[in-house]
Amino acid sequence: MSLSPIDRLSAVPAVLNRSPEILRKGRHFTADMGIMIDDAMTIFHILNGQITAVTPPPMVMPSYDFAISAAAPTWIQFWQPAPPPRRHDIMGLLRAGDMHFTGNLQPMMAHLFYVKAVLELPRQIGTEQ
Amino acid sequence: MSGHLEAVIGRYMQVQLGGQPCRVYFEEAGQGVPLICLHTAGSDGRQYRHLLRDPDITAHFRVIVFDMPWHGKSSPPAGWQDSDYQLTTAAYMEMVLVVADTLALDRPVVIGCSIGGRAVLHLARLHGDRLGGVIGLQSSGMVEPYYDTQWLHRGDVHGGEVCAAQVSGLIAPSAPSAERWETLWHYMQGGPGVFRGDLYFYKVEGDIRPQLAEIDTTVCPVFMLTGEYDYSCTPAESQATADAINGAELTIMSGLGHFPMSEDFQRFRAYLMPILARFSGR
Repeated sequence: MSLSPIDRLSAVPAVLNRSPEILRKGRHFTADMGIMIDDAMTIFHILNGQITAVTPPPMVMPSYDFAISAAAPTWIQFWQPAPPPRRHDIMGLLRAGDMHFTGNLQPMMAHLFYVKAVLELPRQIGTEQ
Repeated sequence: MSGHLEAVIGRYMQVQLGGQPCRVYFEEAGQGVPLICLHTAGSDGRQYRHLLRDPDITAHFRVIVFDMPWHGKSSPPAGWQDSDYQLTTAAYMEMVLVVADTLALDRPVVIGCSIGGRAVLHLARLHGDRLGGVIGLQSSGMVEPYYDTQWLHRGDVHGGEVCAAQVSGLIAPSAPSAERWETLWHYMQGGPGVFRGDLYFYKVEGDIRPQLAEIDTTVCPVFMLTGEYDYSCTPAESQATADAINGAELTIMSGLGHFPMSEDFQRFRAYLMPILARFSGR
């Protein structure tokens, strides 16, 4: 049975905690990062690279620093273990017009390796034993 | 245990560029047809480290790789600290021709990637009679801006980190890890604002689309190779460019991205060698 995009997101904190190389990249990153799948936002509350809390949808007054938004089919494609060429990176999806970055982008751009790595973690979910 | 010396030799040349003295670093190896290699925006000549060391290439080509001023070991001209660097078509053309003249090269072949892939199209159009031909990697007539390049040069974002992270996705997922991170390291070492200044040529000033039909491939043959994972210069954009140049030959490379000569040379080599054979007469 395939996992929904929301299921994949909810499993990210546990996978991140087993990824010391990503935690190291994010050790100075603190922000509330919104991830929009269609109209539904999930917020990762991140302190020094660790996801300390997750606010799932729906929410009445989402409060966050920046958000990364795309339609569900785009996320599903992006989270395939081996996405098609040019659908494999958030900047490629930005260029294609299928992903949007909003809010204060300074924390994201200052820790872009970390943010990319966290957003790519759902590719691993469902592939483990 | 002692090491061993490579056949690659690094030197400097003293030249005038834009009316100012510049000390330009270059590396070379091999003998035969001169082959000038142009690196991508925000990087340096180390991208061609594998090509310089391939005996099947250096047996037939004198491979020459220079760091553009502001890049690698070529410093910016005096007074650089008081203005923003912006690469222009005229400055790019001048530096390639000055390097070729200083080394007294006879009709060199020029291979360039990304901004270098654009530059070879300008060279073919403006100076094709002085060249043996051009090879454009990730080459297109124009790339429209798709992200805000101001993020590449700000006090509150580490330039080396963001430049490398910005381009990291342009490398194909199958690239060997060591080559991926070597390629990114070059970006991490770029000077402040240099990558952004190169992109001025790539995304603003250096649009050659209206002049592509003026390139005469009977005088200067044009070959193009584009990696399928590149979303900066997409295969579709390279195809549109090739379609506008009578006689240009384009191949889309599977399993490669924006830095084919650096990210996965063995895979790239299979596409490059048949083109080089056309120039070496083998």
